[in-house]
Amino acid sequence: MAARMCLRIAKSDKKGSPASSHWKSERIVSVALLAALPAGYLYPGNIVDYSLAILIPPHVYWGFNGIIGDYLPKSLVGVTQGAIMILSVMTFIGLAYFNYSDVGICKAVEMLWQMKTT
Amino acid sequence: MFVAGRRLQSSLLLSSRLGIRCAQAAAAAESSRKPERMKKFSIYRWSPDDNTRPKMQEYNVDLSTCGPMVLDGLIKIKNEIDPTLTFRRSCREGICGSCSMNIGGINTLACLSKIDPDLSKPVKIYPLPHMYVVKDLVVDMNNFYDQYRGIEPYLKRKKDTTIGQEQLHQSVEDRKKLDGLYECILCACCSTSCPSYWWHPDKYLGPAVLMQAYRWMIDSRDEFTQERLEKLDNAFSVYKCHTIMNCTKTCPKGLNPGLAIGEIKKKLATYRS
Repeated sequence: MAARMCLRIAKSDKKGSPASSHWKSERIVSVALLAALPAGYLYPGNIVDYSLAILIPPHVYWGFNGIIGDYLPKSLVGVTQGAIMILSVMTFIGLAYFNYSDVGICKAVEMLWQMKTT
Repeated sequence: MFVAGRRLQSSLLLSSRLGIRCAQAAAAAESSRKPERMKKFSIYRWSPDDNTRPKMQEYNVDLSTCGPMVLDGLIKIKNEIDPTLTFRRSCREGICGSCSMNIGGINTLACLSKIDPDLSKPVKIYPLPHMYVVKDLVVDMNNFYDQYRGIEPYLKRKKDTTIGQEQLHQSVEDRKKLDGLYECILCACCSTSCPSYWWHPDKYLGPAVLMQAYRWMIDSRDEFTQERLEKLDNAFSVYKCHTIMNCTKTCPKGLNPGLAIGEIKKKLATYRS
């Protein structure tokens, strides 16, 4: 069992970047979001709009990936992760396009708050 | 007169001593006549020998003739009611980690948890959650021990040293770093309370083992910190910890495995540079 574990660890070491750098980028994005969200309230504008468009999709993608890996049966993990990946990319494109061609994320949230029930 | 007085005094003393002894005996007799306080124990039963599904079996235990802890109740049941009830126990004082089980929904040591004196509610006892049951409250700990073996829980030195030749000195501060880590008795209460460990017991090491991994990483006498970290730097060993903190909440020894895992993550974030 211990030998098998070492084998598995060795295998996972070989492919791609180490998990620690992945974890680091997750933290960086989370902390950046922690700053970007209040910034959107205090200084709404282009810079915050685009940083939110860049930060939100990977944050959501990693979060969902974790849930999928933990709770879905193994046979469904690959398909679902692929779907979430496509969804996240589309979210990024959508948000960027919205910033470019419409009022932008900050203004949109502001407008949501100002909306009155008629 | 004087002599008689002394004799009287000594006989008084004797009688008062006797009196105390009588009173003690009377008290003991009274305690055995104490009103019955019947408490229901509802215990998970399953045996590989019977072809039946697991069931909850109920036992009535008189608390007035039983020790205060859940383990006392279990031993009383095994001695007096049902000798087939199977559970692990050894030290009965929270240092061996044998009697870990799920009592009233909380993973803890039976010897350290008091029987709730409220007689209207039964004590519900299950084996440690999400472990393979060997029989009744005994679970298969092999995977847990293999994982512990996997982190090499012993001092590792780069140069070969002859054992017994010289001492490896450690400063008071360095020794202090091990406090709150070395006290772990590997009862597996924390690991088996962790949802991540439930879903990935094969690949995620779990809080107990990770805390020990950290204990050997920060030992000033150990020279393999880098290698130990490299071994954990994969998607599962450490990073399946989502800081749920059930481990810290349940630890019967009051330790903080969640903090130790956080420290490992911090170390992993910087060890490459």
